[in-house]
Amino acid sequence: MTIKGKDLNDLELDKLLAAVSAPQLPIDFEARLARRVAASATNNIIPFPQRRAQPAKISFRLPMAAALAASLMIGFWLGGSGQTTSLFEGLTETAMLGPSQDFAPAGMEDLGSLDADDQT
Amino acid sequence: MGALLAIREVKNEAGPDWPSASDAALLEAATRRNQQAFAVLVSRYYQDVFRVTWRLNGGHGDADDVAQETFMKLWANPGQLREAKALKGWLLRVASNLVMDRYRQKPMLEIAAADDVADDAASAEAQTDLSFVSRTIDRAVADLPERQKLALTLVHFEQMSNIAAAAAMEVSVDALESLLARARRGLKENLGPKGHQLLSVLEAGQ
Repeated sequence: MTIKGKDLNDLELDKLLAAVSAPQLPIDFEARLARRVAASATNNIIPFPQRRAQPAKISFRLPMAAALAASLMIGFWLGGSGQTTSLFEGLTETAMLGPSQDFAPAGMEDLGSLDADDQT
Repeated sequence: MGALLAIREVKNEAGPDWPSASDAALLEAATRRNQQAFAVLVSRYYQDVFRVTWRLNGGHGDADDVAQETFMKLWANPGQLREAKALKGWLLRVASNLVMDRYRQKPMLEIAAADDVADDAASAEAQTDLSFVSRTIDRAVADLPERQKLALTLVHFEQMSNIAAAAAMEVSVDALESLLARARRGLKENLGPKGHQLLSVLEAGQ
């Protein structure tokens, strides 16, 4: 016999809590989850992008190779005929000594005329 | 194509007898994207997860979605679990967090509507029904604050020890016991004198 008008005691509350509803488990839970897992597994595959075939650049490479070969041949020819010496004659001296033989900086000769007494 | 073949190999990986394998072995296999091992983990724990989400949802239909989402989070990164023995607690914690997030985003309007229906049906005849007792207790539990409801669910309905429940909730055992005490006190106060009537109906029906 229960006493009315008062709150439940712990034992009574436990009896009531034992009467709570129990959920009905979904039947196809595992199957649906397995499908989601399988779908996510395939979605995770990221294919590498296919590289496009590059068009041949013969039109550019051929003139470039011809120009390089021609310059090489001219270099050999000039070197073999000894004309490089005459071509660069005088240039080496100019490059080393410069266009002017006067190396003294302008105005340097005036420094000797300065006296310490003139300085303030 | 190589990746596809690799996944197919992992999926069909010849491992140990998965149903009898330990959680640690299953988790390790799941980390290698073994779907068979993961399916065993699901079958081992989905009932626990579903019951807790159902209870926290107040019997709402979202419980199924939340439970599925919980396991998808595990599948997304099984390696995030440091210890396999904490798997159940981790699952229940993730599930409860998902429920609370959904509750914040979408108040349980449908549950409130269902409660109204239950109130209308609460005739004198219906009050003698045992199902009425169950529904009333369900509603009283559902009205508890979230943390108290979770503590009560784990310890009382899921029969978890205080230590395991505290670990699942990431609180101290003292804090869990405090939550439990407040939950029980809240239930007693909410039920009030009606609790004795319900108990009488329950005892009469047994």
